[in-house]
Amino acid sequence: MRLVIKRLVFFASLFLVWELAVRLFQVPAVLLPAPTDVFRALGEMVADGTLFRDLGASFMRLLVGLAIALLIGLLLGILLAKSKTADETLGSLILALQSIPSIVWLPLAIMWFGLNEKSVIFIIVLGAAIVMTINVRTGIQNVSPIYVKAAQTMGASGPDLFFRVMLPASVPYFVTGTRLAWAFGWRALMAGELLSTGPGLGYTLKYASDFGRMDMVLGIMIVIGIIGVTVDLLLFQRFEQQVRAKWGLEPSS
Amino acid sequence: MFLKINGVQKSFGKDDRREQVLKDISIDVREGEFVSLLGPSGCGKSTLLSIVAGLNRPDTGILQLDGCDIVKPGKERGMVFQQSALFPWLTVEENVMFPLKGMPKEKAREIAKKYLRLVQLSQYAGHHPHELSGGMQQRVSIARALAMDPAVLLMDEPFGALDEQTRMRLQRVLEEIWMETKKTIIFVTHSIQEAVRLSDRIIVMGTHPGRILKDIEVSLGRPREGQLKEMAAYEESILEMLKTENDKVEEEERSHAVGY
Repeated sequence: MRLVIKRLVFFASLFLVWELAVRLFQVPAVLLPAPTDVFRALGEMVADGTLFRDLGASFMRLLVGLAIALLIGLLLGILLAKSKTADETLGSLILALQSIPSIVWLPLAIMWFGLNEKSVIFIIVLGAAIVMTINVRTGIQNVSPIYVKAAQTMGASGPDLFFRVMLPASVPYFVTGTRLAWAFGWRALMAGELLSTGPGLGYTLKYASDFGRMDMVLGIMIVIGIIGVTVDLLLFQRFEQQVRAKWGLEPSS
Repeated sequence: MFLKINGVQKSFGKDDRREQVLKDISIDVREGEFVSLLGPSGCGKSTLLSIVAGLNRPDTGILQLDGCDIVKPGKERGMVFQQSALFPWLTVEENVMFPLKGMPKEKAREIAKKYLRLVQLSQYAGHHPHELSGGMQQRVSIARALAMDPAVLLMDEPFGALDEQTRMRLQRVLEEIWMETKKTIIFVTHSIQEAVRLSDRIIVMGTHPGRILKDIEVSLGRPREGQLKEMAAYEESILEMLKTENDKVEEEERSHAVGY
């Protein structure tokens, strides 16, 4: 409870200082609008429905992209964990691709898929699938040998051993992979929309910027931040901790 | 003979750094017998057990259970490990049902219930392993190994990580289970007290290389609880024997050193 109060006080004073500074120094709205203007702009967007339409469109893309990415990541991760040759060849390529931000693929993606949804989804898939792949691979490779031995003495082997022991034993890694895939996907989505087409949060942000509506730009940025934090902290991290506690990887609270 | 271990040798490591961990191990175990492998760490007793389990292969030697060669792990040899090897994603009951795959669900659940009752954990069937204490987890492990009705139960220092009180309680539970099920048990331990408390026979092992020092019959009645004086006498004689063995080793090492 103390934490909530601390944070409330912090953010309230932050907005207060911001508001006062803008008014005191008469900062032009194109450089930095006051928080009251930002919230007014947000209110307008809620009132005329653009915010929800954008959110809906963005989330649709994100969900499609994430679903494809998780499936690809799971299959590739299993392949890399099971085949040493694949790990040594394809694995090194995937590690190299990881160091390229997925957004830089956009020019090529636009050539391949056109300036539309598909390009953005491609960027999301690329960003999210790689982290998922790496986590799935690590998870399966790090299954505690004692589980495998125990299962073998109980007659499990081959696919039976894989599906009943190796896969469930790596679930905590899959959860971490999914959380990171979401984080990468969310960032890729915003970058992709900013540079390509709408509707969507990123597209509206660029649209607002073209018309010098910095109050809208900041409003959308706040929405992006709130959604990112909410999903990551409240949804994924909590779920991740529960899973890790249940799997005996962390002392349960 | 029911379980036959004949001339087993095992080395680890490569070429010039090769170290022999088991040398000429031959043990015959009768059906229903409770045999302990007793020895200090490094004597290869756990390696021997995992060879019997089929998780490891010996370099040479013959292993047979009821006339069949042991080449890989199998359900006729249940194993309980020192650390809990329960699957955390399954409930206690599902863990015990794990080896019963292929059986109708209802029947498997019935069997799981029976063995959970045997280890006095029926009321924890729906719990997950992380919600249980170390001692309870080991009891579930025993129930899980017994559920597939193995011919032999292999136990690798199953109570080694438990506190003294829990350990003594589980020794009593295990003795009761053994008297009730009449299973053949091979039990690895480094505790002389534990070996005497539980076994019909104690195979005392030594190190460098791992080998059998002595095969001792423990002819005390069951249950053993309360026969403190008699057990103490056995413990004493084993200690005495290990002491002469130690002296011998030290003597050898000394004469070796002089030779250089």
